[in-house]
Amino acid sequence: MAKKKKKKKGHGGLKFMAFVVVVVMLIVGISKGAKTEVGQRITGHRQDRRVENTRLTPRFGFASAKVRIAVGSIYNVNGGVMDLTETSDVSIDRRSARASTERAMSPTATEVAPGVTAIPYGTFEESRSEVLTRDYKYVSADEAGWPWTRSIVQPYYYGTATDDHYIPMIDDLMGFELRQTPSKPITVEPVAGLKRDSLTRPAVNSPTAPSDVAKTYSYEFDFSTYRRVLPILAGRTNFDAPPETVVTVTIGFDAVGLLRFADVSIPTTTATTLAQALGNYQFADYHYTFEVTEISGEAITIDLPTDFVDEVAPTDDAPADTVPAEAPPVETVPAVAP
Amino acid sequence: MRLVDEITERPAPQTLPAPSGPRAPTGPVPLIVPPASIPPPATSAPVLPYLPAVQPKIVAPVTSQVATTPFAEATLNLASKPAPAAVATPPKRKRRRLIALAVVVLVPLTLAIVLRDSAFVERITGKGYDTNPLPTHSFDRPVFTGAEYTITTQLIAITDGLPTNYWETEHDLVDYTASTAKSTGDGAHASIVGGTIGTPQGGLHTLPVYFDPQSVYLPGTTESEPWTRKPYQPGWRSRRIFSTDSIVMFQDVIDPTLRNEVPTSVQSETRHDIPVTTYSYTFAFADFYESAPSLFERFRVVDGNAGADAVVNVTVSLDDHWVVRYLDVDVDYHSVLEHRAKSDVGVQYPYRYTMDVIKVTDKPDPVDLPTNTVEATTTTTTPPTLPVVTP
Repeated sequence: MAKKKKKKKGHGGLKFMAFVVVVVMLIVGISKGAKTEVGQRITGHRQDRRVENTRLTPRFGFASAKVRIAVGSIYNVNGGVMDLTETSDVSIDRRSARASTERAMSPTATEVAPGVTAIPYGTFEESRSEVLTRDYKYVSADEAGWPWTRSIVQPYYYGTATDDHYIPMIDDLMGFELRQTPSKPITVEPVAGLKRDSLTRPAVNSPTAPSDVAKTYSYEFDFSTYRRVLPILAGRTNFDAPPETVVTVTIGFDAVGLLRFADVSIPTTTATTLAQALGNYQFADYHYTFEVTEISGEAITIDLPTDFVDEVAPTDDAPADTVPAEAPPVETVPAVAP
Repeated sequence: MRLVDEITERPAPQTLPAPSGPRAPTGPVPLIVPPASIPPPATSAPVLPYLPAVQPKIVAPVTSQVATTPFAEATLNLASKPAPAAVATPPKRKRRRLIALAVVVLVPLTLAIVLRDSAFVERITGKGYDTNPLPTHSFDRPVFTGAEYTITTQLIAITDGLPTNYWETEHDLVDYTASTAKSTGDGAHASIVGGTIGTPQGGLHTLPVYFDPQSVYLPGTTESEPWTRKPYQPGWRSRRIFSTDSIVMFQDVIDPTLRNEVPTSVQSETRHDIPVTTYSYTFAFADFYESAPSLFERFRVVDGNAGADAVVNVTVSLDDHWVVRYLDVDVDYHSVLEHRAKSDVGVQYPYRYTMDVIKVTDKPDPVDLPTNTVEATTTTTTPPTLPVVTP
């Protein structure tokens, strides 16, 4: 019996060794295999590489748009500071590559109590109209009855309303680092002069156009990170702040991925300090809002002013895209067609 | 141990001991003498003394002495029956095996066909997955306390009636921990004759500038003159040299849009003794923004400077930590020359930007600030010469 048992033990030992070897090979094989591309796919670690997640959003082609831009600034005047807001209502017609802007600057209204907005005492009102083409810029006179001024523009369209990418797409703004940055819950604070009840955007007037903000992201990061992860937006906001300054950003895109809303702000105290350091009559921006109020598949008409004088006499080979100066005036004030 | 015991307790197949001589009676002698001829068994299958449960096993060759012993011959009737080469599988069992085989083959096949578009099968086949080798996420910036790099901007202008190429190079040595930096600007120019840029003629200017957290140090007109220490202008823009973001990462250059572009070449090489992978892209100037929006924003100064069909070449070298070791954006200068420079004589138009990281390190070379200094008389200062394009 003892002899028999001994024999059995030897045979079982070999089997056990084989079993152990197989188990070890399985463990090593699985761990190695899980690191391969196929293994990562099977374990679900490559979902970010699904085509639907890496595919770019097609650029949305629109014919015209209306955008409201508001910039809050601290203005140093005679040692004191004023909180001013410049509001620009921009109408864009991409077919003619023209844009008209109604600018107005006024003291920033502040909400002194929930629902109660107060305009600071003092008068600082300024407004003017501009029409921008690919070749010329027309600026209205400060006083009524005076002709507009026309000047040649350098062909730096980027960042101007005549640029095809003035309203950026989601893939233009959201790089890899921003996509990995967790979005904070939306905090809609009534901003002076830009009060709104919700983030709902007006409906558009074209059946093909997007209807509303579909995705909204809100962030809070330091100024260095802001410049790094949102370079295109940072290029449009003229902020200057220490690297550790907290920047609050909210961006909203519609269903086709077009930017419909952007709001960027830094503390007013930072801007006040900078404005005071810069000296008299200097501005320091602290708040920027970009809001697409209307977008359409139909072109709009932007008329050029007919009553203008050239700031600098155009050269002989200057493009003639405008009504000649001597043409009889049809309208003295540029009008944005409804 | 329990497993060992269980395994070893299993009955081993029995073998017949080979007799060494004439068989000695070990037990009671059978009373019935076997007949002279043993009748054949009822079934055709041989009666084996032991049949293993799993696999029939022949434990000794049938031609061996064991099979030919008189006892075995008498018991198994092997003399009149041919020795079985293998245990024949019953037809029923054979059928079962065929069915099992069919199930094993057909079920996965059917599942594969039916579920071929399912997410799980696509995980195995790779269908529906992006094959671009570039990553789809950002990388943490490696920790470093010092860096040395150059930024070169090339510009073109009509000077003295000749197309001329200009180089403006900034060589920065930064200690991020001590917040000290040395920036040396240099310039050169060369005429373009017959469409070829000539040999650079240096010495336009060499301007070393030092930075500390509060001040900028500007050199005197001669080496013997003291340096001028001036506080920074209000604002923080002129202090961006102290930001480690100057050393850009993969995600700072290659955004989702540029990643989607097909590189014209991918090659492994070595730059400043660091192995890198270099990706090259080419697109038309009109497609610059739509091909690489983040890069265009960095290089927006070229907007409007070239024709729509001008060629833009982008070269990005990435090291193992996804740090951009080399970045070159080059707009065809011929187009810039025709489109802008010739119509605006004397004005220099940038067309090429190159950033070359010489090293990033944990042990930066110390930047020794000038000691022979005088304070600036005014608080406002002209910012030091910085490249046309900020990194």
